[in-house]
Parts: sequence; structure tokens; C-alpha cells
Amino acid sequence: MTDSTRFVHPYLPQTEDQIKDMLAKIGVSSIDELFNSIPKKLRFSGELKLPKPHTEHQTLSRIKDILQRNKTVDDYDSFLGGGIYHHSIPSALPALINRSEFITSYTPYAPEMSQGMLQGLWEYQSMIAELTQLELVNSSMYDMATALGEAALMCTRVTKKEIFLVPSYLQPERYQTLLTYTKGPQIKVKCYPFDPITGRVNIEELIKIFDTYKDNISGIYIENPNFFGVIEEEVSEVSKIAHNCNGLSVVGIDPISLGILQSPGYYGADIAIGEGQGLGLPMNFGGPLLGLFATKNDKRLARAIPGRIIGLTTEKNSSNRAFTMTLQTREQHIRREKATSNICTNNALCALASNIFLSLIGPNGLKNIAESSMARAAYLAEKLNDIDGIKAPVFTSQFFKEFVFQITKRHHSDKFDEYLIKNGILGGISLTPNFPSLANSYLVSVTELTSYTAINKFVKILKDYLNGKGGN
Amino acid sequence: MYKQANWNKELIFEKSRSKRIGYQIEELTSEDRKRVEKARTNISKTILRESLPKIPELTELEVIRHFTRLSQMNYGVDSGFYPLGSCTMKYNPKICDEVASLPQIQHVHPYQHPSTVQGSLQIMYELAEWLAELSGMSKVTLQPAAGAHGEYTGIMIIREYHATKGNLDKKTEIIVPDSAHGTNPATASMCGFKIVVIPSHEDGCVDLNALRAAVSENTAGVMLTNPSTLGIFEQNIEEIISIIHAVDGLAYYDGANFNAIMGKVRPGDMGFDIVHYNLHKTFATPHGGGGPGSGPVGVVKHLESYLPVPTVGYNQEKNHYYFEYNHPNTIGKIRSYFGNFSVLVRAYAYILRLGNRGLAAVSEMAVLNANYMKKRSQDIKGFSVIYGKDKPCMHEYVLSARDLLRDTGISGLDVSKYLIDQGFHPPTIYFPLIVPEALMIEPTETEAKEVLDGFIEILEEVSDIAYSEEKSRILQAPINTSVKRIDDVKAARNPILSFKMLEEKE
Repeated sequence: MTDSTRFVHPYLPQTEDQIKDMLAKIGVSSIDELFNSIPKKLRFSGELKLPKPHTEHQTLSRIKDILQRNKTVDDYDSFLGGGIYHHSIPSALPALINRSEFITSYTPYAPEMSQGMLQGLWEYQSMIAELTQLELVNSSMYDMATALGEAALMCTRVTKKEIFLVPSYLQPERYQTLLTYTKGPQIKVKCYPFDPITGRVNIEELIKIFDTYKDNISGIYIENPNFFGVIEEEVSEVSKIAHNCNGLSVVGIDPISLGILQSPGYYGADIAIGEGQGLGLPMNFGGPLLGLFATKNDKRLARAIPGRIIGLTTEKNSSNRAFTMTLQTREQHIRREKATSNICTNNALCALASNIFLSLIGPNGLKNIAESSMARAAYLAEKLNDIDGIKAPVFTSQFFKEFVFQITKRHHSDKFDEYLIKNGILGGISLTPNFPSLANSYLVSVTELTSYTAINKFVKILKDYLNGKGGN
Repeated sequence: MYKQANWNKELIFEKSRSKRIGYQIEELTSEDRKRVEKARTNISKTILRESLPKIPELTELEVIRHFTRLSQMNYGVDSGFYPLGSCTMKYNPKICDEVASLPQIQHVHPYQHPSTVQGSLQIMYELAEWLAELSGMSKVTLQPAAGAHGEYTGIMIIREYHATKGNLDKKTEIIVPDSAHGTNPATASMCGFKIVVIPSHEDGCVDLNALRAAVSENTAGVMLTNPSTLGIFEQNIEEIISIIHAVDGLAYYDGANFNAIMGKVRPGDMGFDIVHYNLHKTFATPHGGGGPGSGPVGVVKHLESYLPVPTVGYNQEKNHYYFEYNHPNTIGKIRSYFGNFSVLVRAYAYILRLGNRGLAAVSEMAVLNANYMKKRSQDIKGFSVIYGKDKPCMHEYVLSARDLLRDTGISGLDVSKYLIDQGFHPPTIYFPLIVPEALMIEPTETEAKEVLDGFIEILEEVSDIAYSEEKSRILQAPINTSVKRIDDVKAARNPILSFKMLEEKE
């Protein structure tokens, strides 16, 4: 055979005889003939500049070799957060999520043979509805940043207005994603400031901005806890301000914080979004993540929500329970250019993972994780603040599991990073590049997995650094 | 015989018993408690939770059993043949999952110092290079989280391209063929464009006259997939693209059907400017029941500066990988961080496993399998191929049950339900919209001839039954699954979307 078909490989089952039979049945003499519809001059005739085929062993060796140049949060003590956190992942979780009936399935287009995934996603919706106290939850967005973008678009769809107000403390990537998402529909994003003392949003300033634009405000966004880790207190005031101009109130949450903090549905949110990574997903260098998206169950909102939604119904000819994708007339495969979003593949398996995570930890586990993270973060702040040359926390308001500290002594920030890495510490996100008013300030994060040994070591290393041992 | 598990549909919430726990964390010390109490007093009562959320309480085994049973009521590629057209449900190699589970992949934070993530960056850099080579593009971003997100990235690049030229006022339209996937028009609309739909020619390809009539100075670009959703290669592709380029429009290649062409023809050589890939299709990463996917986007040289930030660069002298933020015309960020990394690393492993020759063989075998099934299935009474009947198809084809419905009253939907009962995932049905009673079949390269034959035999059986008097066997299907036919109308009219809503109704 002149074709390159006899490339023997475990993923390619047809034998030489079978290929002959198949070609005969089709009525062509070679596989190459099947590609005759491609104009000759377009055909690729060279050799692809790609690696040669690797065996499993070679593949694994090559990748493990490359990965020697990665350091993990097991190798180093990490105090990095800012949206992605190193929380507990029960062993039962990967054991379930990697079951091949789940992981190798497609979107449940054939619902009768996909009840497992559908029920799992319906339960996920139920869990998030319970946490947020908002009844209508989609079965996931890509991440919190895109969920925020979609929320801004939804506010305009619902209100027909085009100004979306956000606090100026947004995580930079989240803010930039929002700016991209709002470009197409020409929604204007306006920032309202935070109070440099408390670290919370400045309500008086928000009201001023509101007065200027109130006829055109589609929605007002606030985060709780916010990017600085600070717990926002005037969330219901912000909701009221949004409602005063018939705009929507949008709240961004860290779901872990809901072990301690009130649900956004209680304080007037119309839409809650969040990053679900902390609910059982590894950090994975930042993806895949889980965009939470919940709204009030209100007809106006239900028509406008983006994404897939699973409903509980029955079999056609019995009262037996059955699950199916529903409210699909909002979606791209039916509505095409009039759809509420273009989203198709979402992060279903991540949603299922968080259902399993919440089932395992239960309400008390969620509270314990939240409280343990909070207590350890408070301990770190106390110890850092004891160091001459450090102010911790910078903001006066209570924080959750993250806070901002400031180095008040003169130092060289590049050397600071190097010093930490040299001493086995990952952490401290420098806020200087994005928040010039917060010079020499760093965001640090602590979870229930951050050991006191690690915290004490971090404190000692910082103390040494400021005592001149880092060569600053 | 196929028989799916049929456990009762008790909800995890209904299995909950107060005070059971499924997981423990280190207990809080008395010092911890004091700090929590102190913090609580600093927080306004209005914002503190008064009672615990009502999520279920179960032991570890109960959770394991609940979800194990759910998995037994689900069907994946590992369960059986999954010829879902345009979704490329090929075998997902286990080595790729093994690689993705390494701690050096999972336990890495995106904000770590670049010197501590050189491994991750190298994988991203090389994967992007390989994908660019496969499509004939100049540079690739790995950030998009799914196919539609890749489309979004691509169309935003088209938008920004016209914006930087000061032409956005007149460049208001994106051309999309009527056979396009719904995400194409939905994406263009999200990016602020008007959609101009062009009808297909009777051979299933783009109607050049219709295209010429639709193109104007308002044309910002076109979205095409080649081979088309009908599994047919657009032979006039160069002319189509030159018509678009003539008005300074850009040509976007939807990579849904990339599995047909690896090593055979490259979108860049066809003249396309922007390409997306579905790693969860062509590059065998598991689809996870609806994601996470990954939809990298490649562009030609003159569009590199529009890519989202950052991309990964490499300094050979220092053997150092770094994030490149210098894209002067960047569309900005389209998500947080750098991409669905654990998906990327699976695709990286997959490309290594197949290599250059293997990927070409993948496309060859995918096309062989599709043509074999097309030939055999169009000979079955009641079924036909409407577009491209006598020509070879690419990696998929669209079978029509139009005659079967006309002659016997058995629809494409009924056929799909009967296939389910025999242990096959059905093809994509009722898409593309231009084919009546469509069954879009994509066998992929990883299925053996015996499997394809088994599927064809069932189609023959459906036909025999439909043309006999025993139709009820088809109309009752499926009966071997965990539920029979589902009341979708009730689901939409009386939506019960969470346990909370169920409790309120009961």
C-alpha cells in the first residue's frame, strides 16, 4: 500500500485487511483518493514540524523531565491567593470525578443515557442556590472573570441601559476581562472608589456617581470579600442604590466565605457570581476554573440568564423523576444570534466536582474551613504587624482569609521577591503595579491548609529581610 | 445486550442526615476560636450568617456510593460508540489523564514567580508552536476556555483589527453560512456585529453568488468551517477568501472539524487569517460531560499583536520562558490567568503520543471510517445522504431519515432513541438545519470496523422494523436506559431548577 496508513498505534484499530475491505466497499483504491476534494495546490505536502511519535513511557519521561522546572505549593510554602486558593481536596473527590462515565461523556444531548451527569449538575445548581439564596443557577461559566462579563451583558439585556458600575479595587484580570466583554455591546464600565482607610467601597462617592448617571445605570457590582480580602458591610446599601434606578445588583463572592458570611440573596443581590475553584478544584496554574452564576427566579431574569440550565421533570408516560437540559430557547443552538450568550461547552465537570466537594464537607465543614482560614490569616496579620517596618493589615476593616500588608521601610521589591523564593516562600502578590496608591503593599492569602509552621517561617523570613539579611 | 443501571433518583439532599460528616479538617484550637470570635465582633451583624446553609450531611461512603451510582447512569466514550457529529468523541488516552494529575501540574498557583513555573511555561510554549504548525498560523494563544470562547477571541480580534484602522463604523457585518453551528452567529452578535446569513449551494458548499451578493464594504469578516458541517470540503475556499479579503474582511476558521485535515491541508494555506482549535475534540482531551474544554486561537503574522495578553515567549540563550505582555493592539484579557492548563497538558501529551506521522494517520483513518459508514448507511432503505451523495465525505457526514419519516412515520429522533437502546450514543440530530431529519455521524479514527458494522446493523434493523408493522419497538425506545423518554415540555413549563424550588413546590 502506498498510503501512510499502516501507522501502527494503539489508538488506531483498523487492520490492513480491514482497510482494504473498507476501501473496496467505498469504491476507491486508496485512502489518499478520499482527500481528492482538496485542491492539489492546497494539499500539504511537507512534513509537519512536530515531534516524532512517543511511546507512553517516552511521553511521561519527557513531561516529567520538563516539570522538574516547576515548584509546587508542596515544595514551597505558599501565601498566594488573589482569586485562586489552595484549599482542601478530599481524596474521594478525584476518585469520583475521574470515573470515566463522567469524564469521557459529552454535553448531555441524549438525556436518557446521561441522567447521572444531569442529576449531578442539577444538584450542583441546588447547592449554589442554597449557598447564595438565589434560586436560578446555571450549570457553570468558564471562570469568575467571564461570569462578571456575562453578568454585565445580562444587566443591559434586562434593563436596556448601558452603564455598569464596578468598584475600582477589582482584581486586574477580572477588570480587563470585563472591559473586553463589554466592548461588543458598547456597555460603559465606570469605577467607583474604595476608601483608602477601611478598604471598603466608598458609599458617598458611589452615590455621587449614581446621581450623575442614574438614568443609564444597568447594574452595580460589588465583591464580598473584596480583592483586598476585606469584608464589605454596606452590601445591602449598594443593592438598594442599584434598585433605586431600576438597575440590577450584582455581587461577587468567594463561596468558602459563605460558611461565615450572609448569602447575597439575603442582602438584595439580583445576580451573584463567584469563583468556584476553592470548592474542590486543584489550582492547575489557573485553569480550568468554575464560574458561579446565580440569579433570582424572576421571569425577567430567567429569560436573560446565560448558559446551560438543568431541570427536574418526569418521564413522558410516568411520574418517575428525570433530568433534562431546559429553558434552551435562550441558547445559541436555538436562538443563534439572538441567544443570551455564545457559551456552549462550559465547565460541567468542575461543577460536578464542587457538588461532590460540598456533599463531602457539609455545612459544618464549610464553616470550619472558612473559620480556620480566617483564624490563621488573623494570626499571620498579628505576627506581621509585630515586625518593625511592616503594617498589617493596611486596611482597618475586618478581612476574611486574605489581607494587604505594607513594607514601610525602604527596600528593593525585586530583591524582595528573590529573597522569598530563595527561602522557599511563594507569595505576596505585589499590588504596586495596579494600585499605585498602595506602594510597597502585598496581598497575602491563608487557608486551612497553611500550617502554623509555615506561617511562623514566613514571619521569620520577613523579619530577617527587614533586618538587612536580604541585602535590601 | 445493553442495559443501563437504573438506580432510584433519590437526591443527595434527600440522603442527608444531620451531623454526619464526609470529611475532616484540622480542628480549630482555642486560640483560633478566639481569633474568629474577635473577627466576628468586628463585622456588622447584618452581614454575618445566622444559620448554616442547608447543604447535605453525609459520610464519605454515602457520597462515594451516590456519585458512583450516578456515573453508572451516564454514558461516555469508555462505555461505547459515541458518533456525535461535530463533537469528535474519540478515545481519550489515559496517559493524558495521568500526566494531568501530577502534582507539578495541579499544585501550581498562577501567580507564582516565573522562575518557579518554567515547566508549565515550556509546555505552553511548545504546544502553541505545534498548534501553529498544524494550521499554518504564525502565533497561537492558549487562553480560550472552549470552542465558543475561541470564536469570541477570534471575532474580537477582527473587531479590533478594524477598530485600529478606524473602520469600525462601517465594518459592521459578519457573514455566516446557514449550515453554521449556532455559536458562530451568537459569538459575532456578542462582539457587536450584525449577522449576514448566506444560503448553501445545492451541493452543500458556500454559494459563491450568494456570497458575492452579501459581501460589501460593511463586511468585517466571515466565519467558516472547512470541511463544512456537512462533512464536505469547500473546493472554492481560495476564491471565497479572496472575495472577503478584497473588501478588507478577515476570514475566521472554525476548527470544529479539524480532525479531518491534519497533515493534509492547513487553514493558513487556504488563506484563513484566524483559526480556533478544540482540544477537547481533535486533541482527545476528555469533554467532562460539558467541559472544561479548551479553544486555542492561532493568527497570521500581521494579527499577532492583537492576541490576548499574555502569550509565552522563550529566550533561547538563557533557556528561559516568560510571559509576553507586549501586544500593542491586544484585545485585552478574555478570562483570568493563562488557559485551562490541565487540558492543555493533556493535548500536549496526546500530540507527543501520535507525533507528526500519527496525527496525519488520525485524519486519514477518521475520513476512512466516515466514508465507510456513509457508503453503507446510505444504502439502507429510508436513509439517504442529501448533500454530497456521490462524493467522498471528510471525517463526518449527514444522513437524512427524511424518506423513513415520509414512508413510515419514524423520525430521526425515533431512530436516535432506538440506537440508545442498543447501547450506542446517538449521532447529532436535527443539525445542520438545512438537512431534514438529520443524523450527523462522526465515527472518529479510534473506532474499529466491527463497531462501525455493529452500528450499521442497528440502522438496518431500525429500517426493517419501521417498514414492518412492529413500529412500537421503536416508538417506545429507549427502555434500556435509566429513564424512558423524558417530558421536556413539562420541564420548560414548570421549571424545577434546584432543590429549593422543589421544596417550595412540594
